[in-house]
Amino acid sequence: MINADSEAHVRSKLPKEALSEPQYAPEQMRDRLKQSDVALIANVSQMMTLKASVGSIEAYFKGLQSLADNSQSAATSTAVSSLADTINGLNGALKDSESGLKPVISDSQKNALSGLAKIVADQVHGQKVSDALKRDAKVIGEAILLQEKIIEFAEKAIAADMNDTANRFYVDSVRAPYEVQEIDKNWVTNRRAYIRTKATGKMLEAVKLAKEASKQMGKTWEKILSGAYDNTEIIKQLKELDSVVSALVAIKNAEKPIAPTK
Amino acid sequence: MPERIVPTEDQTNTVSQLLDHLYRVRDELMLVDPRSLKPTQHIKWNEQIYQTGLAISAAQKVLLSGITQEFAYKLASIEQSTKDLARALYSLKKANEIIQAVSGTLNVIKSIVELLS
Repeated sequence: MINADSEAHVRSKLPKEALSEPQYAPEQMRDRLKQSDVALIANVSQMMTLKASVGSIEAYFKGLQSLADNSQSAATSTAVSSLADTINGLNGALKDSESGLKPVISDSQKNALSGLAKIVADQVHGQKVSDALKRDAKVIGEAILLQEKIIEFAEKAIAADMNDTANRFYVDSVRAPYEVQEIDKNWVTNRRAYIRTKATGKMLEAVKLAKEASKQMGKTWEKILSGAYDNTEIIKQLKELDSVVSALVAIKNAEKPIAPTK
Repeated sequence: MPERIVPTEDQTNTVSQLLDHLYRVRDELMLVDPRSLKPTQHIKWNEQIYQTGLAISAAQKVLLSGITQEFAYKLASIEQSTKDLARALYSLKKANEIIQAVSGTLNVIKSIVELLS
């Protein structure tokens, strides 16, 4: 946003003759710049707020991923098994005089107990993830839609900036030399760079990627909430959220357009 | 929660179309070669670019304000949801810590019993 505006100012800078006219006196020019600055400052400030908002969605998904990743079932199984051993040890100490007695909890019972603890812990874990999804469905779904709006806004602003850059490059490095027939090998390179840029839209790749990732994120969210997956599959999906989180980071960083390269 | 004053979808679409149009105008203005202009033409061109820039900023402001306000309205809920996730994860871990603590306490009792026997 800032570069596009500034580049336009540079491109159209007034000829010296104009500066002697009263409407272009230094005070008037100061006011012009101020008016332009005020509008840009307001918009950049809004963009920074939105970046922080995207950060809040990122934090949510990282938290969700962390919850999905952290099944405590193995740890619970081990803890219960260790508890059973401790109970047996205590039992042995209390009945020392009657040593030789069978432990209160036999090995097979201990294995069954820790296995059961693992199953229960799995269910509790699945339930926690499921409850979180049910509880957050609406607010996160809406946030994903808002995020798509930000990407759409950024995509258009970046595309406009890049078109302007490409057009200035075309005027200076392709069209002007051609008009006066000052063309050489360098001109060939410049023309190829311009045409390839226009034809492939290569410069927009990062934004396009973020847009696709965001749409995919929305689709995955819808699928999860529509009940298309069971608990295990939901957790598997959530564990693969890395790409979504990367997309959010890309959205936050996708600001600067790249000039045509020779 | 902050008061919610956001543009309607129709208003947003209209401003969005206006912004697209303004981007195209600036795009076209950038195709002008300043070297081909007479001073009076250059001054007019400069004014057109300046006014287009202001109009672009104004349209962007409307769209950004709408999204920012919608986000601000939801931000508290998103942050609460994130805290709830952390709490859920904490409670899962806490359950194991409790079992381990019980086991630890029983070990202490066992040691005392062994000392007394």
